[in-house]
Amino acid sequence: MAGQDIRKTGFVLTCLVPGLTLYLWLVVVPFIKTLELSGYRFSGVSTKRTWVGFENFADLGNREEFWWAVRNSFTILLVVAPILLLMAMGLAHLAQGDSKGAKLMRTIYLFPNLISLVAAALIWRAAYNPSVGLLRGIGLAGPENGWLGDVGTAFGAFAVAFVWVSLGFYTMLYCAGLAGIPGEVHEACELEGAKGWRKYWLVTRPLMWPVRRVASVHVTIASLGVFALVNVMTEGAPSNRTETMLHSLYRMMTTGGEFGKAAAMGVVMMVVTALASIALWGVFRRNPVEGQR
Amino acid sequence: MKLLRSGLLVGFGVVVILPVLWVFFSSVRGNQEILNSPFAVTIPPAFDNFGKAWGAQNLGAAFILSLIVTLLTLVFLIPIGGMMAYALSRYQFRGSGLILGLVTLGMLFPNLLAAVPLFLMMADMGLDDSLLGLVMAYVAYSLSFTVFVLHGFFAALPNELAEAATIDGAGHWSLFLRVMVPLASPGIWVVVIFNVIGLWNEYNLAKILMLQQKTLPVGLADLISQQQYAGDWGAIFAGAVLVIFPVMTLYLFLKDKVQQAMLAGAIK
Amino acid sequence: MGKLKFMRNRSRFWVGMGVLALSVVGLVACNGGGGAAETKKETEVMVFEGGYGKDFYEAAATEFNEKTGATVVVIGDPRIDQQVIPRMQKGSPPDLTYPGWRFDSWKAVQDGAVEELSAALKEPAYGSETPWGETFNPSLLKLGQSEGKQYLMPYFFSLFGWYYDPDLFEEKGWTVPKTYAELLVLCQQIKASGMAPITYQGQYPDYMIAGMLQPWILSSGGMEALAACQNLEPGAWQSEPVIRAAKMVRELRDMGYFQSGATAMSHTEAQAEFINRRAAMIPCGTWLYSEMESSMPEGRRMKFMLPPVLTDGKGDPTALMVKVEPWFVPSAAKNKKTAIDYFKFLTSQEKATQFVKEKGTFMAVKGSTPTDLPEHLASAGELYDASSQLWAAQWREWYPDFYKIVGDIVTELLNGELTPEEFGAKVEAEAEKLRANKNVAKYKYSAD
Repeated sequence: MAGQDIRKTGFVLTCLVPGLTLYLWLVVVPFIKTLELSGYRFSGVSTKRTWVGFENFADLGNREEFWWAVRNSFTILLVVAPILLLMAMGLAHLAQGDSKGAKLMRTIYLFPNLISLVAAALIWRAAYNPSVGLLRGIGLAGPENGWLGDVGTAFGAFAVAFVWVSLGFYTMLYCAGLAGIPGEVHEACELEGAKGWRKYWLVTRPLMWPVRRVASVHVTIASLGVFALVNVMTEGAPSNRTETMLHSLYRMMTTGGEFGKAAAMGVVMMVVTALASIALWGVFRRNPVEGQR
Repeated sequence: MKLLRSGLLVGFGVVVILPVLWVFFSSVRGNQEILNSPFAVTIPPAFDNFGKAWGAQNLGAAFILSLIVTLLTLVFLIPIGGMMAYALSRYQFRGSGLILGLVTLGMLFPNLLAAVPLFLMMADMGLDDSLLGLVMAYVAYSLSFTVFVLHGFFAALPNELAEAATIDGAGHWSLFLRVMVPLASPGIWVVVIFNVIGLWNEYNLAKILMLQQKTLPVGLADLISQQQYAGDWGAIFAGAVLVIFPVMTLYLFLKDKVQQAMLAGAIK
Repeated sequence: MGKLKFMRNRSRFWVGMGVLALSVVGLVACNGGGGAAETKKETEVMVFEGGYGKDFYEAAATEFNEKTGATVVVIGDPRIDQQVIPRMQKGSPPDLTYPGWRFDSWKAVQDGAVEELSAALKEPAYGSETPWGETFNPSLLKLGQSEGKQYLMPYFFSLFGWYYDPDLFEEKGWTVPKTYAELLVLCQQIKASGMAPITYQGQYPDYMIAGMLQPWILSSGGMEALAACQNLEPGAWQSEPVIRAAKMVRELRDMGYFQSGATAMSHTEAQAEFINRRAAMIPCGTWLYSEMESSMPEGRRMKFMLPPVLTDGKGDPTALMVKVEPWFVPSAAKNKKTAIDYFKFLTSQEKATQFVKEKGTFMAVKGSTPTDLPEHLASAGELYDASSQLWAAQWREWYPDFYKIVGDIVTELLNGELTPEEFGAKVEAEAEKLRANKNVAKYKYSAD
């Protein structure tokens, strides 16, 4: 018996150790070190580190760039993402079913989600470019400074690219959710005479609860994680109008020579992410449909 | 009503695909022609854009590096992640829930939040700008998703088979490798496809950790911003096609599997 | 039977894992070992591989090694800053470095990580009796000093102004504007011909600060006004000359003389617009030609001009902006002596002249004046020779954060979001924040 236990323990340990070591070493430890570094004044160009407590956070708060980054990240999370999900839900209702056409369309919608964000950013950067631009070619030249150059339109132009990249994924998700609603439910609805919006609110929406939860979690992660798109499309220009929190962190680390402040930004983001997760958990704590998780 | 529905569907389809098609068309046009008019078709096509992108702008080397990094990461990631997921899902022990929670928590936070210390640690070990360092980081940061999905697949496997195999005298390893892994192969497909796409496209970590050696997405991003390559739109579009094409091919051939993989992280 | 099979499989698995583990350990060991060996005896020089490459420094190192028996090794990369940074953090820096424009050299000075070279400057130059310090153009050498101590060293330098296409101007009968009034007239003509008069690298407002804002502050209020701005003197950023300069930028914008969409363009995109004759003028440094050479249309010419000046201003109309990218010896370097000797060799009369010839640029070493330069540089060289006031934007290196913020505010001005007065007030408010921040070391710019 004891031999078996030892063998079992050995097996479990062998399975866990390589992965867990890598994970703790390269993921968990750096995250913890980010917390520590955020308390140092540390330019990154010398060995000198001075413990300054919360100074980096105070410095961040003093900068317009930081507040633009916060504002933009939250706008993506609280305005763009809900619009994106609404569009995806609508599109999913249109594109559900097994017809060849609907399948083809779903296949096409997902495509932008599969290509590199760098390529997506490049496509939109080129499309908005006033000289070679696709949009100018179809008569949408935009404001005097171009869609991405005008402080008024740059964020919207960026948001369009963000939606373009993501829409297909959420559409597919909702389609899968809709397909998962059993046929009897539809029949019952017909018998009860529930149709259209009424059916959606009373039947479809509650049944879609698990899918909506998944979509909300995904879109939260994606919204707070915007980096490559900004880095390649605008680098935060014009005048911070497309700056996001993650991109601001990267900028401070690589061109600002301010590792300590970049780490402080990382901590702010960790807190924001954690709070957003708790909020989501609160919203989606209980499934309205009894007996389901 | 039906017409409106089809119209909307196709309309969205066009909006989605048009920019991509435009890039493909433009990738075989000369720089001057692109600048002169964004739409015209160039005859004969200027395929030398690809030569320029591949050779002079070093995307060829980047392409090969990306290929190696993607494959090498998978070679380590799938066994390591698979073993972890299996142990966590099929064996009861104290702390297993905690470990699973800790590992899946990684999916929540953007990897760049750890970028500053990660960069310093890699530099300390002389692993910055090294293939090995990047692969190690990729394995570590891909574990969360991989373990999360495979855990779901392993947990869903019926107990009877495991019991039968154990009675037949199979040890832990043989049960895992001979019985459970084949049964979970749909799940392995899912994580392989998802990771292939994710790793091929990965930008954040490669951008931070690799200096002289560039992966394809980083190489492409640099085409736009770095001075040596100065505004040659034809070559830039060709570079974009180089990045998109392999994924597109994969998608064309394995459409259902890819869609399943994209869904799997969400709905098991 | 079955059991045996399982066993075999299992051992094969373990062998596989073992091989993987060994290879990982091996690779790590190789990596680490290589790194350690490098730092022992060789003198490491890490250089930014920009428009002028790294080949010159490598060839010079070979020559230097043969002559002196030293072992200088040159490592070059377009992103060498990313390799210098971890080395500086670990306290095992290269012995000499030219880390490029992305590296925050003054912050390294502030942290005490840069060796002071004042004593070395008093030693004789390579192959000469003259003190090394006297072989440099003094106004360029001064740019690397703080409180009279020399930390950063100049090597080649660039001039910053505007570029135009002489063939295009001749073809259309346009004349190069010397004054702002002439510029307004010309822009109107160019616009009427259907071309954009001026384009700019809007994604990087740096170019507008260097090419318009600062020259016009200087032109309006003289060097004192620009120096006051650089020194963050209270009120300097909303003084009359700054408002005037902002008004000029805003006027060109309001008249529609800037290319539409330029705010969103990267430097290469805007420069591509210029070389493809979709805009007639562009602010840029003397590296423009080499930067765009690969995508230049056949036979395209370009010439350098000064930003047009005010006729009623206090500034020297020949004032010209110079840009230097510094070299330095880290104070934690192991082979400082050899590193300094190698840099002395690089800045010797012979090598400096050779660099100018091979690379076609300007040099901080006296008497290495280039002859038979290509037209795009010769036009700048003439203005350099004729200039009685050279100046540099040192606040860009001293206060990179503040500089970025001013760039953002310039973008808002260019978007018509701010009036010139609001522009001044907003920059002044940021300058006040910086003045109040005791953690940022302050420097002093003094005009020649």
